Order: sequence, then structure tokens, then C-alpha cells
Amino acid sequence: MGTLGTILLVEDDVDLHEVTKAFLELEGFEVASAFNGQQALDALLGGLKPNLILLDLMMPVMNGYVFLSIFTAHQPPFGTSVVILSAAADVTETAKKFDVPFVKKPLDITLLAKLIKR
Amino acid sequence: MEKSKLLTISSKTLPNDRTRFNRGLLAAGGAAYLAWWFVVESLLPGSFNPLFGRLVVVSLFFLVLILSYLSAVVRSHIGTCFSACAWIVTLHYFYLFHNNHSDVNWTIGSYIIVIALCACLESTLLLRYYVLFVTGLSLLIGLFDPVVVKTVFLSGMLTILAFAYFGMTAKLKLLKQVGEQALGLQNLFDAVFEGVVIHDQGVVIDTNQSFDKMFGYGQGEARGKLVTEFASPQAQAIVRENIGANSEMPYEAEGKRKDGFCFPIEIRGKRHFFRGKNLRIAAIRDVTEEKKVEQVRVLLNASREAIKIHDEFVLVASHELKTPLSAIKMQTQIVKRKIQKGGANAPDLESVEKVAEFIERQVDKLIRLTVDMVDVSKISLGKLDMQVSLLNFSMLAEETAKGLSEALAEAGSQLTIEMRPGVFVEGDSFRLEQVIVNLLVNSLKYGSGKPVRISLTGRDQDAVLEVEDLGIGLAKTDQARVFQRFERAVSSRDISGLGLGLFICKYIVEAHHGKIEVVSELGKGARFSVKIPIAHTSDVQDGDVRHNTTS
Repeated sequence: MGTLGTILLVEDDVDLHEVTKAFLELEGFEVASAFNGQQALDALLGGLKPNLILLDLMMPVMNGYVFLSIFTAHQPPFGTSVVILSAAADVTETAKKFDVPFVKKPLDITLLAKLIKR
Repeated sequence: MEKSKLLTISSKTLPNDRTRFNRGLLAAGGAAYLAWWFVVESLLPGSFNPLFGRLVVVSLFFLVLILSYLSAVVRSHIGTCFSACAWIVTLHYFYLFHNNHSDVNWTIGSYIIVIALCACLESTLLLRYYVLFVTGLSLLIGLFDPVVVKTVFLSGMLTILAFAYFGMTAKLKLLKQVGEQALGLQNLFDAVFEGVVIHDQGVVIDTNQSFDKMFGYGQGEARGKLVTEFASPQAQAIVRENIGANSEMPYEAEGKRKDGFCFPIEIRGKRHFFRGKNLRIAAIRDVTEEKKVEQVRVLLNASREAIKIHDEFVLVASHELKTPLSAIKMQTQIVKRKIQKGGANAPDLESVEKVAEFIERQVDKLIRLTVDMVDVSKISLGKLDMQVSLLNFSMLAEETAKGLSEALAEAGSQLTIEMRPGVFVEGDSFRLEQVIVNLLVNSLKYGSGKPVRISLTGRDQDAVLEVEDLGIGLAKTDQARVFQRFERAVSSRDISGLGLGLFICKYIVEAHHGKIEVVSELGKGARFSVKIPIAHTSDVQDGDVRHNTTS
């Protein structure tokens, strides 16, 4: 079957990144990888047009918060929705602030699947 | 009436005043009476004015004066001696008066002498007797000399005596009032909560009841002691300093009770002039309770702070733990999904092995994290266990470094190993390994994918292990902080981590009688050095260092 879409996965932990990517690919998505906010921005500016961005918050170089502020400042040119995927304690406030949905770690696959289907 | 202590100061501590005064009276009186003879000779020639009698009386004055220097008995009763002289003078003069047939000039002279002598007699008793004596003399003269009764002499004399007597009574009443006021003052003095002490150049003159109670002395027992006796040995200097400087600012010191018990006090003193003396009066407060409250408050704040740090830590820790847990969960769910989907997706043995390895890696991460947390708690409780033995530090460091070189390489941080072989230390190999792993993991995290170097050398008596990276580095202000518990030089938003590693490292290194330091500049990487005393080195030449580079 063809891909259901492209997801940009922004997560710095190598293992977690690997396993999330494996899961998403299993479900039939194409996954682009970024290990920090800077890489994610570079990918987007380089022409990548993902349907969804799964964003971790705690990353080096450029963390999720900074990425979000830059990203939301440039909507709608990117035309993508963002879902925050984080274990950070202040996820709820950040999500509200930027008006994006979020999923807490550890990840519940069914919840993620539902969100992605949207 | 209980005379106030203040008023009795003058008689007890300044005894010479009265003696000096009376001596003065004797000298002046003698001289005056002698001079009087010359006055009479020149102003009233022809009067009955025998020199001999005069000289006898005058010499009596001077005799008493001289005796007061020689005899203690005379000195202590000098007032009474003067009074006796006064009687003799009066008797002599009335004799002259009688023989001068009550000449009006002599009348005036009598008045003058009596007034003068009444004024000089300050004791009530002596005055009373003198008044009676003169009254008797005057009436007697009236008997011998009826003319006198008709003159103004008797009435004048009686008037003068009346004035003297009632004047003295009034003065006494005034004194009594002053005394009562002083008594009132004394009551006030004692009623004050603070301990009050008055001293003259450091010698205690008086203390109030509160002071006596505070320092465990009986009433009046403190008098005559040096004020420094009431200060603890440590507080001596500050008390002397404040007294010497005449400071009026409150200051803290430590008081010492009679039984030697020391307690915190607050002192405030000031100068006080009294009867020409420069005294110092100080109020003393026992601040033991205040200090206790202060201590409790400090402890409470420290506890609150500690709880806050702890709570923050729990938040950070829970985040750290969630990452490997999420990875494990996802991995297991993938396996389930694959099995569900079946077919080409069904997991084969090789992929299952990979999954198992993956999960094991995550579990190891979790174990490391929880071990770190437990170690930190143990450190706080002073219970970090260590088993010391002689170990080959070079070998330990090399093996540990090699074990992590793959992980470092994957992150782009090529690890260079430079170990001087044969360096032995006394230590716990497990704990020292912990330190090395920690430093290398840090360089992995913060090394920005640049090369990392680990080296071991000997310098003086120490083994020096250095881990150097070219990563983000540390600002000067953070360099001391990073070794503290829960402290991290980066925002927790950027790089994950518990902030325990360096704290644990420092503890372990210091438990090995060593030192851990960092040399770094922001943006230019960091070099962590661990110095541990060498147990001994095996025979190696200097410069015999093995280089090892892994890619």
C-alpha cells in the first residue's frame, strides 16, 4: 500500500527515535528524521512538506519550545499540523499556548493512531 | 527607710570626700578664728580679747586636724571631733562675750559664729545637740547678765537657732523625698526587664535585680567585679572594644553566668555622668529564645528549600525515566502489531533478537538512572559504600574507555585514549569506574559530536585522569555549580539528564582523598581533571605512554 503520508519526527533520543520511526513505518507512514529543532527547521526550509510533525520538546541545539515559536510564527506557509510528543512536565501549558494537541510519553499507540488519522 | 544604693555610693565608694571636707573645716575654722583675733584687735581696741585663750582654741582645731592624719579613730569620727571643737569655740566666744559686757558688736559676732557652725554641722544629731547647747548657754548668760535679756541678743540667738533647726528639718525632709524618689528609682531600676549594670572604667558599681537574676548572682554580689567577668572568654574582646569606644550601638555578645554557663546576649550601653565620674550604663538582654527562634526559622527555610529542590528533581527524574520507558513500550507494541499483522511483517528470530537487545539497552539506562538516584541518597545519608583495594588505575581507565568508545563514535565523538600504564591507586574499582563513565557520558552529551580525549598521567604524587571535549563548554559561573547536587549548567529544556553525575563523581573522588576540577570556556569545550594519590607505579619510563585511537 502507498504511504499514508509523511511525518517529520523530531526527537533527540536515538533509541526512542528509532523505535518510533519503526512503529510509524509499520503503520504505513513515511518518516523523515530530525534530531533537534534546528534539523527540523532545516528540513522544512529545504522543501520537506510533511503532513504531520511529531515534536519532542527537550532537545539540544534547538529545543521544541523554540522550534514551536518559530514554526507557529510562520504558519500557514508550512501548512502542516504539529503534535507534541513529550514527557516534559509543562506539556499541557505549552500545548495550550501554541494551540497544538499533545501526547504524553510513554506513548500510547492507539491514541497516537487516532490523532494521526485526524 | 532603705536608702537607695545610688545615694550610698558616695559614702561607700568615695569616703574621702567627707573626711576631706571636715579637714577643710578644721583648717579653715582654725585659721578664721585666729584671724578673728586680729580683726577684733584692730576694729575693737580695748576689748577683752586675750591671745592666750584664743591660741589654745585654735591649736585645738589644728591638733584634731593633725590627728586625723595619724589616727584612724580620729579620721572615722572626724565629724564628731569637729562638733566638739565647735562647742569649745562657742563656749570660748560666749566667755569673751560675757566679759565684754554684751557689747553689741560682740552680739553680732556671736550670731555669726553660731550661724557658721550650724551650717558646718551637717549631721542631724550633732546639730540638735549643738542647738540645745547654745540655747542653754544663751539662757545661762541671761542669768549672769540680766542686761542681756533686755537686748536683742537672746531673741536673736533663739531665732537663729530656730532657723537652723527647722532648716535642717526641711533639708532632711527634702533628703527623705529624694531618698524616696531614689527608692522609687531603685524600684524602677529593679523592675526593668533588662539587666542593667553601671560600671566605672569596667568596675561594677551597681546592678539591678534582673541583671543579678540573669547572671545568677545574689543581690549586690556583682558589685566591685570587673564587667568582663560576666562575658564569656570568646566575647571578652568585643565587650572591651565597645566599652573602650564608648559605643552606643547595640551589639551581640555571649554572657557568662556565675556557674560558668554561657548564653547569647544583646548589649546596649552609653555614657553616664554622675558626680563628676564618667560612668557607663548598659542594658543587657538575654536573646537565647530569640536565637532559638531564629535557628528554627533558618532550619525551616532550609527544609523548605530542600523540599523544593527535591520536588523539582522528582519532576526532572520522572522525565528522564519516561524516555527509556516509552522506548520499551513502543518496541513491545511494535512486536505485538507485527504479530497481529502477520505475513511479511511477522517478526523473525533475528528481529526478535534485535528487539531484545534494544529493550535491554533501555533497561540498562533505567538501571543507571535509578542507581544514580540511590547513590545520591546514600551520599546524603553518608552511607555510600566503598570497598577499597589496590587497583591498576591505568587498566581500569583503559577498559572503561574502550567500552564506551563505540557509543562515542556513534555520536561523532572520536575517542582518543592516552594511558600511562602501571599507575596504581588505593580505591574502589566500581566507584572509580562510575566516575570515568560519568565523565565520558558527559562528553558524549555535551561534546557536540567533536572528538574526545581521555588521558592518564602521573604528576607529583597524584594520578591525573583527564577527559577533554570540544563541545559547548561551561561558563565560569557554572563551573563551581555543576558539582552540586541536581545542578546542571544547561537548561533542562535542552539536554536531558538528572544532574547527579558530577555530584556523585565529586563525592567519590574526594572519598579517595582526591580532587576533581574543570577547566572550561563557554563554547570551547571542557577539560575535567581527576587527581587521586598514587599508591605506587610499576617500573615504567617517563614518556612511555601508549596511544590508542579508535574510530
